[in-house]
Amino acid sequence: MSDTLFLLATFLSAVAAGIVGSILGLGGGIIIVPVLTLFLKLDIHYAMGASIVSVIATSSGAAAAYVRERLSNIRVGMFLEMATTSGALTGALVVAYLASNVLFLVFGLVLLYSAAMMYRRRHGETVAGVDSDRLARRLRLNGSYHDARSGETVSYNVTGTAPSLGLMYVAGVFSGILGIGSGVMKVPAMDLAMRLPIKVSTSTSNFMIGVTAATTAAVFLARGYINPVVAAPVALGVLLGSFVGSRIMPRMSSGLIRKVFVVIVLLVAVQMILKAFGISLGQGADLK
Amino acid sequence: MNVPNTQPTGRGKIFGKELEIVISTLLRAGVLLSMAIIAVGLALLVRSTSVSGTGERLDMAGLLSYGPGAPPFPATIPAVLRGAVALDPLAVILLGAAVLVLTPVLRVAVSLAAFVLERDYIFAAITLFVLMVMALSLVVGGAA
Repeated sequence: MSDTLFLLATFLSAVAAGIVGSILGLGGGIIIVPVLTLFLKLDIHYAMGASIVSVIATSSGAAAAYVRERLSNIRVGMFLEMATTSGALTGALVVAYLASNVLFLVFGLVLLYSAAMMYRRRHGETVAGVDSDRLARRLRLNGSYHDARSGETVSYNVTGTAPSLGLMYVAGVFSGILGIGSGVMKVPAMDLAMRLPIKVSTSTSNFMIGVTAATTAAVFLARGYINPVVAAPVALGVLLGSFVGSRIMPRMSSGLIRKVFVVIVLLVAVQMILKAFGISLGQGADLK
Repeated sequence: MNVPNTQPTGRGKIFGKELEIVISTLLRAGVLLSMAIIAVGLALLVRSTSVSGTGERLDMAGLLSYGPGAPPFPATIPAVLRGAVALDPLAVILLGAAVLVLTPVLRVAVSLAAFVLERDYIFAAITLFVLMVMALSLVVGGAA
């Protein structure tokens, strides 16, 4: 495959990954790494490096909008970021000691988990009846936001602050090990443990992902996992794709499409796990 | 004191504008700038794969294979800067990546300043902790 063709193929794959990721709310990382490794047969380290760069770009772009709309709870985000960044630093440093097979296995398992989360996703909007816990009150983590759909201002309290720190540390470690944003772990933690309204959870998670990813990326940069030849088309492609995806998403909220994608993610998860054991299913483009 | 806090960031203004707007603008500017740099680097890269004149053709297959030892592109911020000035496409792209990585760092620094200005010292400490972890990642990883 010629060089320019490779760049083009990578770019287009990244655009597709960005579109799918933004429709599913899964984030680019979890989609782009399997695409790069299974389809384009790239080394997983370079895939992770390219992924983390695109994660920073898409999350910061989205966060800019959410922060402006006052949907993100910056205090909760910053508080939890103590744990996520620590986890990300730990995870990113550990990558050097893990064989590629292990990375594939962990990735496959995280994909399985994501598919399960996608399948379970039914959310109600109201959070009546939650009292802030002591730490949340001390730190004044509670807040309110303006719900564009109902036109009301919704106030909410925050609870479960201590367990959330633990969950966020774990989410950070996975971000560091796999080069993903871990939004798939952050949102449920805020949703279930802290009982935040789902809109606040997703927008705060977006706000946090950039910080976590930057911590991971700083280590990746020095370790040489960020290959410019891969990272450039991927970063540009995923950003474009998620922009396009966010435009077409409102028209695509049908449950059937989600179910189809859950199946696809499951298949990809299985492939990643097989690859960990050295079994390659032989499809995809070979560029060398 | 369980007073509903309608502005989770506090009521601070920084540089005369609301904190949220500053952060939001910063994030957007950082992403756009880094993407522009990356695009320039990519253009240089494409050019270098086809130009048969003074530039050497880039060995892309070699660049894509992963192995032990030092990678064939700069891995520290000083090296990236040197290469970018020399218009090495790989270094330019990595410069864009570095700008992107630094955007959230800057955002956390702005939050720190805001909390200090509001005299919210608990959150200033929390934010400082986050900033320290990020700085540590730059140093421990070896990039800085």
